[in-house]
Amino acid sequence: MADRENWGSRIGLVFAAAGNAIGIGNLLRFPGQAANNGGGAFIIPYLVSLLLFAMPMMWIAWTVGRFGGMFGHGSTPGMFDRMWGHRAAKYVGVMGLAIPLIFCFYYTYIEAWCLGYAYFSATNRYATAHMPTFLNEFLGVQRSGNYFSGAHTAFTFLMITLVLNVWVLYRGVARGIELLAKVAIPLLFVFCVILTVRVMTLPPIKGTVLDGIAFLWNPDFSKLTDPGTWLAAAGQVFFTLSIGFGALECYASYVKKNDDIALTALTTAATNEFVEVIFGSLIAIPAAAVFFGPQMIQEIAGSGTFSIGMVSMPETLRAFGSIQVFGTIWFLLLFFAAFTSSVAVCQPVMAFFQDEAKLGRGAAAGLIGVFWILGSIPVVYFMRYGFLDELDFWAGTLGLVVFSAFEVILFAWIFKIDRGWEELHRGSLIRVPRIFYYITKYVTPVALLLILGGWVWNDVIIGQKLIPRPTVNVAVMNREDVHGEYVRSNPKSGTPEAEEAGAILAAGRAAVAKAGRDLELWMNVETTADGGVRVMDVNGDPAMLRAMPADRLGRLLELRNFHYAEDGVRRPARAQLIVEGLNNGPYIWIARVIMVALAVAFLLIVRVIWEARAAREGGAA
Amino acid sequence: MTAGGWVLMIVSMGAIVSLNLFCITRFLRKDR
Repeated sequence: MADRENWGSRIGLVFAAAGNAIGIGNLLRFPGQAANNGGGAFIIPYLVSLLLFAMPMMWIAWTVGRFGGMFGHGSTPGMFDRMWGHRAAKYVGVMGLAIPLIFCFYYTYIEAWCLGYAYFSATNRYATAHMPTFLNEFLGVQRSGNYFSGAHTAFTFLMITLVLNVWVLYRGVARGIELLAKVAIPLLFVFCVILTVRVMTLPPIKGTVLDGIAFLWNPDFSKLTDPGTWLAAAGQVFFTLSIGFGALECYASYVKKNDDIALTALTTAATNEFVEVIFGSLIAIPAAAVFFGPQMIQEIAGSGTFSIGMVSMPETLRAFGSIQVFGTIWFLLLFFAAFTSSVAVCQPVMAFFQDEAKLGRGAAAGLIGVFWILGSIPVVYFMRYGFLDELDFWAGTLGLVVFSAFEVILFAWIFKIDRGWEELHRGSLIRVPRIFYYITKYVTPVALLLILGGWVWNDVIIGQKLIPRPTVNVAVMNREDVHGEYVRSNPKSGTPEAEEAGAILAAGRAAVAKAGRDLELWMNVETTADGGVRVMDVNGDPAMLRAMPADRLGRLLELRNFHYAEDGVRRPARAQLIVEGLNNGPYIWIARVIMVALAVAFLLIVRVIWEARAAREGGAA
Repeated sequence: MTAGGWVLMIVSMGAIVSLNLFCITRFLRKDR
């Protein structure tokens, strides 16, 4: 075991662990979740989740990791095997390889968007662009061809990001990950401070920064009775602390036998919470409130994590003429936050190849690079079919809870809590309050099983997640040719207008499902200043034309309040639109097959390694 | 912003800053 690496310094370890936890979720997902779930009231279930299972899971992960590290294991198959001793343990530990690697397949892509947008900011590439379209075309989700002709640019940034990640992994724990964290974490704080000062000093346009802060913190206590709020808070705490990936365990495995882990784990969580609750609530949402007005925040927050970061934030910074400086800083901040997390999440796989398969650093990094590229290609090119979301749901959401639920039961009931508690406190700089002993033993396992049950019920059963469904998108193709802007807004859900629009789209989806392939339409439309829409001509797949004829398409656009405006004034105009009916099913199934195949591959590798080890030990005896 | 909003924000942020200060002082105490 003497050849295993160790952290170079305690501050380096704390920075690396903080980098592991602090990611895009802190700055984008937290404010989005809070805005959608009761504003200030969200912090109550959030802090309860932090105490009831996030902190216990942090301490468990660090203890499991340092314990495994003493025997030369940096990944969970070896760690669980040592702790449980059952022949199944190592196979259960495969979750700590498959989940992080699948997560890396898509998280690195998101990281690459941030790098790409930092470059676009520095070069003033989106000075006049319609940001939602810019993002969708950059990702190849929408093929309207105004700014990008496919996902090739995004793929280029992904390759740069992948090379950087593999290079850091290749350099090792102290000279790679720790060095990166020592540069990136201080830089991240500096960037956060600069952006907070910039946002706090923005003059009002449609709202003030205080409107944004009020939106996030004014409590709606009625939301506390909604189980969805509690599930959202629990989920957020999970993502933000990087629990359930095997990554914390891996970092802990490089801690020396008698060095502290209890305070280090607490400090990691504290630093993460500092960035999440303080910077997370003072940058993106207040900025959106200034530019879009407080009444629009709900819509922005509801339209997804990336909409806050990649659409509303650059639009706000652009309005103040500061894309090249502050836009670049914003996206570099997101990039560094993601970079320190992605290397952390992939390190267990690296450690597995080194510790268990006995590969050299170069071979291990090379092998991971090959897996990573192969896994990322479908994420890029099938993204429009919901490929990324599929991986995120099974591996990055449910997988984390399943892994954690097993780990807490292993720690508290199989390894035994008394032994675990003693292990946690060896060399520790603090004593964890005794109440956490009981929380870890009784409350955390129950809380995790409840969360798991809640998610399965909500998403898999009610949301019918198992059955892939086609989608239909409508997009403008000639945005670059006009001075003004094409605008549309979806009718409020629950209204007759929303139902009518939903029925028109459902007919399109049914046609796609029946045809079993993608169906496209192109149309020229005329809009009038008083809100009328007339479809002049429409061409494309006959099956789609039968399901969505010209009059229905015109009605859909009217219901979505589609119009053209210059400087906020509606004007008559012509527009070219594309209707894309996407047959998602096959791609969703490819995603599932890849996930299963990866897990099976790791199971087989583990089996071969352990059998060879047993044969060696038997021979030696 | 309502009084409830201010209270929640100040208490939450205060708790997190205090936790960070606690961690820093514990580390420094050991190093000394």
